Amino acid sequence: MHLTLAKRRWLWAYAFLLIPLVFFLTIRIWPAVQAFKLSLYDYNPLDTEHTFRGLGNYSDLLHDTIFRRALLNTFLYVLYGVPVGLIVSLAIALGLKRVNQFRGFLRFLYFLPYVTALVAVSWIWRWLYQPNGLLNNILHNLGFRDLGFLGSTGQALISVTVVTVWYGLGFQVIIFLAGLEGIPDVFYEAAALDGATAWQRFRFVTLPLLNPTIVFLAVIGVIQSLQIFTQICNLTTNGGPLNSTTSLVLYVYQLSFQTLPARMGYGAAITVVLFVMILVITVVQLTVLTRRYEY
Amino acid sequence: MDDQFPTQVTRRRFLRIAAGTAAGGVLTAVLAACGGSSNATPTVAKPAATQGPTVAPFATIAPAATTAPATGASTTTASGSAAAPATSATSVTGSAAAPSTGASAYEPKNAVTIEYWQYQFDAKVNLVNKLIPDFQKQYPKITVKHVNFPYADFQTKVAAAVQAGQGPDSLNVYYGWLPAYVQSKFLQPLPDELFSVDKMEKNFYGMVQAAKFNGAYYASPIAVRVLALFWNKDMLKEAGFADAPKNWEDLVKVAQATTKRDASGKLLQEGITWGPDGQGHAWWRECLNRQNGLMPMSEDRKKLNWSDPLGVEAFTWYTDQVTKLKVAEKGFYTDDTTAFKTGHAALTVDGNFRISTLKSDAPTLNYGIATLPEHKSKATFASFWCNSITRKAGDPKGDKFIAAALFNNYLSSPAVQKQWTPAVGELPATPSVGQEFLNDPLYKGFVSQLGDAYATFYISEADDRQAVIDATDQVILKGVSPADAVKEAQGKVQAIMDKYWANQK
Repeated sequence: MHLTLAKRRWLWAYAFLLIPLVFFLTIRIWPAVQAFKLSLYDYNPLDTEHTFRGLGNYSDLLHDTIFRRALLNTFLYVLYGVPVGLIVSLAIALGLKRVNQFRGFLRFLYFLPYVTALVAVSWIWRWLYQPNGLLNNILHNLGFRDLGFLGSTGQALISVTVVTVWYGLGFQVIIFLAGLEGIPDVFYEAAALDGATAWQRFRFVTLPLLNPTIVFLAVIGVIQSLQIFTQICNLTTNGGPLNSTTSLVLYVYQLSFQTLPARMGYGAAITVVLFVMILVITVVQLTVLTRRYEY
Repeated sequence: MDDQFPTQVTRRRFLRIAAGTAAGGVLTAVLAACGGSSNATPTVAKPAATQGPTVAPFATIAPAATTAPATGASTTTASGSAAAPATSATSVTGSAAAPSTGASAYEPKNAVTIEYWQYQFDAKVNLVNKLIPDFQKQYPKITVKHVNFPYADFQTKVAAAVQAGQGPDSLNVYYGWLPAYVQSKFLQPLPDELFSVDKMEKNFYGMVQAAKFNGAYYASPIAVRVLALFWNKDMLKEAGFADAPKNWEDLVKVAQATTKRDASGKLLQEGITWGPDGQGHAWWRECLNRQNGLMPMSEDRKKLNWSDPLGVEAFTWYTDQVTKLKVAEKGFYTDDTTAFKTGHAALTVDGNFRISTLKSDAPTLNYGIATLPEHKSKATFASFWCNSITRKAGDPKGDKFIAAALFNNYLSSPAVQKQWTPAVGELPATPSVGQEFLNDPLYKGFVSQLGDAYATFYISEADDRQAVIDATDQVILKGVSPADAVKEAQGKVQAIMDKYWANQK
């Protein structure tokens, strides 16, 4: 068979892509398809037979109060966590860019939380949030009343969000820094020459040209927040007082691995719902937020 | 892409080689992981703190200094195990087994290997590892493979193994999980030859009935755990009490006298710990209710009685500790165990498994153990881990099943129980062995309650516990009336029970 040079290179490319693709399909895609299938059954791994329920699991979801609560909580995690995280990390990145001394050390400090194990971070914060812990001691010394933090139905979710934002700062700051470096100084000079104030320079030069970075971080942030699990599990063990911190993934975990008999099919249905949510939200985000700025 | 051909070729070449090696490496790793056995690898990880059933798989215990009680050859009656007790106090030397005269034809025909799965709890694992050679000496045809895994992975490990067609022949399981496991037909009934109903009911405390389903026993215990009142002797003495409270009224008095707050009202020391997520839920469900004269569940295990006025009264008495009397506080020093062991609480209700934690984490704490304060009657909550035979062991006439049954029988024998208590801290499951610990200062408070100990029939222990925790939170955080909170909790758990019985054919 006579192959042109182009064709041969094409073949090599796909040959090498094939191996990780097969791996990816087996490890990621096939189990996801199986999860779809699982959601149609009443599935207890210890049983020998499993009843087919069609869309029964999904109709059960409509009446499940805990599911509704978990859904609400998950949305709140996104709503509170992502914008705050982006704003704070952008502010820090802008500040870091201005700083001349100890720049490397400061960047290292900000990135450190992200490198630490999230489980360890959660447990230290849990200790800080105790009714007679450090934070309440500080409040006490300042003359304020103690706060319930993780023990209060109203404050627990926000307390968890604070930890999430704190933890993610490092990653977002680094990405923002990279994005900021990508904006040529020429534009700032031109803007300054035209008499733009600092705020105007920020609004008309920095923000638009940071758009790809912001979109990237927003999409990643939303996806991560929708899947939030580790910090909730470690800060509030079983979803906080009266399910005030339960997220969808935590609820799936409880259904599949704590409830007896296990309800993996029902849990799989929730993961399918989550998948659809993430897909829709991501597509919407990408279309709405992405803008091209040509300067 | 074609313009920088010469430089791209060398870089590309390098990238090709790198990609090829990486892909090859990944592929081999994947094949190795898939091809290897899916048995749980023995881990030495310390199990996480309790959030599961009333277990305390905490870090290693120093085996108690008390020597094993004097040995009397108390072999169990009838066929099966003839484990003659070890003569030396600490070691498990291969004792010359005196095979029982009714020498069972109940033995495997050929050499067989069985898998025994037990969660990682250092004291238990070490003891079983010592016992296995002794057992294998008595039954040379049987080889036992001891597999361990972290407690937190229990459900996932078992589920994954079953799906893969592998797993244990004999499984050490928490009694509260038996109903669900039995309903899935994952466990098989224990054979009559060794575990007839008569024998079980004669040899073990009443709580073992929790392992009885459809007229047969599905698991046999080695040791049990009960709840008792731990009290801080120094704090009580300071408040003028020489001994632990014996009833509900005294408990309130002691708790009120030992609660300390600073000038601004901040709690410094609580009279009694608040731990519905620890043992508190079991204290109310099985103990306070019964002590108040109410059986929390109907005899046929089908209906809950929590919302009975007596149950609500008990629940109100319990939650009043936080809301009205203010002798306990939610989250004080993280949880009940931490508050007590760091010396910030005068009283706590906990199980005998806590002794090992206190020994390692608070060796200088001056505490005592007393029976649970009674009211109209006595009652305490009992729980136990027990050994079962899974469907993987196969046909009851097959060698694997027989081997698993013999091993379970050996583990449940009085000789093993006598070693179990000093090493692990759990109490013997057989009354005759339990009596021998009645004078031990550490175990007295527990053993004396064994006659009034009741094991809750759990279907989904996690949901049952969470329902009670939610009920307490509703009262404490949301000001809901105890009656309404109990009713809602009962509704949740009753729904689970109804579903279970509907599936029961």
